[in-house]
Amino acid sequence: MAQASLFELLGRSVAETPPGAGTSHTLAPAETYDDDGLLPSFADVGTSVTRVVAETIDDDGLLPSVADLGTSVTEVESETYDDDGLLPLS
Amino acid sequence: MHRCALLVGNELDVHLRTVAEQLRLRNVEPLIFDADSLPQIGCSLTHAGLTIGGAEIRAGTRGWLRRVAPSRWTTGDLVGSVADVSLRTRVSLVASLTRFGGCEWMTHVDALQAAHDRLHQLAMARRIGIATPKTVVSTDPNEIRHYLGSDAVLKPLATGAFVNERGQPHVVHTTELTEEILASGDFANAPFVAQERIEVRQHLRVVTARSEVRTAAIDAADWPLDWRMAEDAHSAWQPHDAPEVETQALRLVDALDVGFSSQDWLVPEAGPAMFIDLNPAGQWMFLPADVAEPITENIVDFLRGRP
Repeated sequence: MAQASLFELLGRSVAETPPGAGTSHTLAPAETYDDDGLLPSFADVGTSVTRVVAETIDDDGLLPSVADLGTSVTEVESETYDDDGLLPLS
Repeated sequence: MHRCALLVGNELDVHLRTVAEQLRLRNVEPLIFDADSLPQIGCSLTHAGLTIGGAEIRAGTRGWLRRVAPSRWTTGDLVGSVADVSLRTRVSLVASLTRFGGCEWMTHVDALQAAHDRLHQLAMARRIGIATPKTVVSTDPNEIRHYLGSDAVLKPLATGAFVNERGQPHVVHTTELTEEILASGDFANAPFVAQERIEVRQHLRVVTARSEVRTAAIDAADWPLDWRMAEDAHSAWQPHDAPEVETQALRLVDALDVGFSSQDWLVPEAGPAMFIDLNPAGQWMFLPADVAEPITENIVDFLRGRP
């Protein structure tokens, strides 16, 4: 049997979920929505970089940054796809 | 105005706005910026120092890192686009400003980042003797079943907010782990956290700001497994006396080196209170004033230079 994404299995439409302080979402992007142990600005903003066709794309020598901690690399067609040794843990 | 305080975030956030208002009442000028507003405000970081909005930021200035940038999870910015990479650059710069500006932060950016890690929180709590639910993250559902048995819950490891293929925003709450989910879910592509299901008597929200700690509670029987799913639950919290939990909560923030935390604990039907998770930039203003205001006051005191 094909396996389904847990997000698709368990996700509830925001429209069905009540907005409010302390909730984990909002209808207004400018509002804070998280209360699930994560900062959206770290976890979401950092998600980046998909199709990399050439090596060495984005390390400009900065120290480990908040943005890159969330980096998610998907289709890497060549090596050296990411930056400065960061763990994509967020 | 005699003093400046750095607030990273946006005044659309009621938490930041309230703190900013309180600072102004005390003749402290909040300098508010984030990755979105930085282009308009302007900044320069050199070996010689930091200026933001034309103001030289003195070493020792205090700051509160609330939100690096507004959430974008419903805006659909194309990954890898110029807009995306530009935003990432500004987020990186904000992080650098907080590292190298010589300022003193309510919670340092690196401690904040580490403290987001749900598994790290749980490990740290266990290390210092705090009770936590039996927990497993595995790409193999059989391992989860073997470890937890049939009575378990499932929650996202990281963010639970996403946009589906039709562009509709969704969120994942804590959910009962069923045999159907174990059989049909892909636990490898996006690993989730599975935990033993606790028979809960009360949910506790424990909020800390430096040495200040306050607790609110709701009865679990009145609300869904994840109380966030019920709109009315947000206004049902009552101040709660929980000195033992509060002592443990403060030990945990010391271990994680965070100046602020919003923690979720459970009071089981039997046994000690259990730590569930911690948000180093979570929300507290939906809680009763007796709980929320001392926390706000402590943050304001920190930012105005009080010990």
